[in-house]
Amino acid sequence: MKKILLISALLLSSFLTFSQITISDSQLFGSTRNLAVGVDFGQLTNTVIEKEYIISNPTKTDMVITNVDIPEGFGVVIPQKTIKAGTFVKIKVLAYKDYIKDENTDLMKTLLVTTEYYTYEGKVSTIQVINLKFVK
Amino acid sequence: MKNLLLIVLLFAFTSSFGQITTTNDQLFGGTRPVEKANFHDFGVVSEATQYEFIISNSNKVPISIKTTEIPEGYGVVVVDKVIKPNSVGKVIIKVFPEQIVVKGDFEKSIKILSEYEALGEKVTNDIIFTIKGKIQ
Repeated sequence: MKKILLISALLLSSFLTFSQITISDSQLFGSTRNLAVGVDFGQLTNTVIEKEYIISNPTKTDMVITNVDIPEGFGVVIPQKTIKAGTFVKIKVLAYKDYIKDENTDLMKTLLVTTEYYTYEGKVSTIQVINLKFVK
Repeated sequence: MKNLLLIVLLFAFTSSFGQITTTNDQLFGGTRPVEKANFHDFGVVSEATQYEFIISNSNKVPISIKTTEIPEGYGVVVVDKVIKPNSVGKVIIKVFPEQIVVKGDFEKSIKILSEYEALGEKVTNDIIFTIKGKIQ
C-alpha cells in the first residue's frame, strides 16, 4: 500500500513538474501576426498603375494603420488611417515601372502594412504582408 | 490671487519639460532643425501633385529605407529602397486633394525610418519630411 502511494505521489509530482501546458493561442493579443495576401498588377506599362487593396478591421475596436514598408518602385496612399470596428479602408498601391530596378521580368515584391489596436490586454500589432505581383 | 500665482508657477515649471520640436534626420548622430531640403511648400493644390525629396547618404555603408508613416490622404513612393554610400536616393511625396477630407491649409510630416549597419549592429534613424500648402 505504501509502495502504491509512493509511486502515485511520484507520478503525480513528476506530471505536475514536467508536463507542459499546451496553449492554443492565436497570438491575437499582445503580439504580432502576419497575414499574407496579394495584389496582381499584371504587365507594367510606362504609366503608373494604381490598384486598391482592402484593409479590414474585424475586431470590435478601432484599428490604426501606423506605418507601411513600401518596396522599391511602389507607392502607397492611405485615405484614412483609422479603421472603425467592423469596417474597412481601401488603400491605394501604385506601381512605377521606371523605378523598379530589378532586371527580372516576372517579379513579386512585398508591401508590409502595420496596424495597431488596443484591447484590455494591451496593444496588438498586426503586420499585413501584401504580395505585389507584376510582369515588367 | 494665490491660486493664480500657483497656476502660473505650475505652468512655468511644466513648460520647462517641454520638448523642442525638431524635424530632423538623425542620420549622422545629431539633431538638426528643419532644413530646406526636408521641407516643401506645395502652395495652392487643386489637383494631384508631387514633390521629390532627396535623401543623401554620406556614410560609408548603405542605408535602407524601412517603414514610412504616411498622413491621411497623402502618398509616398519609394524610388530608392537602398541608398549606396556617398550617393543620393529619392522619395516622392504625393498630394491627392480629392482624398483629403479637411480642405484649407495643411502642414504634414512624413516620417521615414532608415536603417544601416555599423560595427555589426543595426542603427535606425528617423528622416522627417515636412510639407505644407493649401488644399483648394
